[in-house]
Amino acid sequence: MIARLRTVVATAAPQLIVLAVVVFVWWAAVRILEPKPFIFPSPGRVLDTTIADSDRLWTGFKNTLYASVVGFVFATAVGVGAALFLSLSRVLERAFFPWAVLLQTVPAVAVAPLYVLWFGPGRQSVMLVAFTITLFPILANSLAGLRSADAALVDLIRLRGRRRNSWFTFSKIRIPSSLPYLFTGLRISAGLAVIGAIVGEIVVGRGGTEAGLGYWVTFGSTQLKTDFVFAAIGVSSALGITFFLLVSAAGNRVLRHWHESARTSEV
Amino acid sequence: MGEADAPGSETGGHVAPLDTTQAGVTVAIDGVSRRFRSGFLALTEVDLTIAAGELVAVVGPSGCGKSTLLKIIAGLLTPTGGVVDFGGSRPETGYVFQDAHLLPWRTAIRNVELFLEVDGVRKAERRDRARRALRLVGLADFETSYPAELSGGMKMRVSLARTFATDPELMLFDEPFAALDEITRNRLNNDLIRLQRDRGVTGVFVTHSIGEAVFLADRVAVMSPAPGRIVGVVDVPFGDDRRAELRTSPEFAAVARDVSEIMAAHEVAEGHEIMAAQQ
Repeated sequence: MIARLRTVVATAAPQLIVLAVVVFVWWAAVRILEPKPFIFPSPGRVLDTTIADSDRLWTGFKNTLYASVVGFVFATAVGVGAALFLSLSRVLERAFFPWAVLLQTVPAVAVAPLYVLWFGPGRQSVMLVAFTITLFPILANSLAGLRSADAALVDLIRLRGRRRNSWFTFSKIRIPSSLPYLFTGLRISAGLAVIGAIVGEIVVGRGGTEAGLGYWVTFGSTQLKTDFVFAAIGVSSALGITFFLLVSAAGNRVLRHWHESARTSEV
Repeated sequence: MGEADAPGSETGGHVAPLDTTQAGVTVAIDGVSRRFRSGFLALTEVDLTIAAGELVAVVGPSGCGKSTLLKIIAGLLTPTGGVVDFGGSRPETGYVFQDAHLLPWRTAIRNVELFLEVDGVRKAERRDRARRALRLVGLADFETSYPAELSGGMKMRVSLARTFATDPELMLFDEPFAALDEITRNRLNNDLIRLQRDRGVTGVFVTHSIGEAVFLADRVAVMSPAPGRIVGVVDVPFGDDRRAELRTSPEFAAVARDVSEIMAAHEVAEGHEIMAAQQ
């Protein structure tokens, strides 16, 4: 137990030291340069606001979390489904994958107003932005994963009378082979989902019970409550990191036996 | 963790094959050629007949079409000319590659079960046959190990066990131990020869190592550089007596020299032809 705690501290220490240094430089800079608080608040002030406005931030946290998770889950379902379909043949992949690449180049901020126009200024539009931004990494990575299956082994199974696209080959070889790639896509998308939701909330601009962290960022900046903007951004990052870490942990758990890199203290 | 001990030490020498009724199959390769879509002629007019229970090694320089020949025998590639005849239906074929090609998320025994699963063998029987196959290759104690926990040589043993578990009548080896260090390779060869001869399975063993070919095979077929064809066949007169000491005997050296002379002659000859063609 103590040994375990020690390793946790040992891995976390360098990061925490960097954080402490950054906060110290921030604090010292504000102390020396004395900028107006609405231009650049001190760390202490941001912390005070975070505590004072914790109700709003907590609602924002929950709303943004909800929108990003829904967008992420739908993107996973659609992305994996599409990847399975495209992996059936090279022709399908050639026909559709370039258009999927196009999807990635469309800026989420630019499509968000369209979603608002089509689906109204509500949660659904926020979720759609999160969905749009997370779809491509999941699709591209799962497709690469399905393609990565050991070709020689698939050949050996083909020798025993099962086709390349047989259910056996899919379920026992190709889908499991794709999992490390899928989780790479999911990790990238976990962070992106939060960004997408926040972009969506900024464009949708709906407050009240639906107010997400993106809304509070806009709200704070129009009111020149810069400390509150800082607090909302801080909570957003915390949300993104938490989401990312949860997906990583799930991936490492599932992939314990795949790669050396994902293996923990075994043997 | 080091290489596992030779299986003989665990199983007490002679090991019965999984299915003792299994007999080898005759393979008649008749005028086989293969031209790829790019126009590259990989094989031309390959003739070779392999008797039931015989192990033939095919040696040749890299790129001479040895692997193409194996794929054609296996049925993974169709020849553009000639036929491969087994005197009946396609035999149960085992194919071993240079790498083990295991599934990293499966334990050793679950990997050995894979082909039996493809064939629809029931779970209890599958487990039983896989267990015996692992014992055969000396990995009885590693059933629940994952490939990442095994050495390169042990992974190859799992790969061999996976193939033996299906009771093949014909074994095709595509430079199976080329990626291993020499000590491990020799040890695996010692074990392989014992397994192969005990079981009376027909085998084709592709390699670029003359020593390996002479040690393992009943006959060594020498292939020319591309387009590959058989330019000579050397009989290996050692019968079933393939103890490790054989490698250092003068008789062994003599056979190996015969093989390398044929190889050398054809490399030079082909070289001249190519130069002549270029002028």
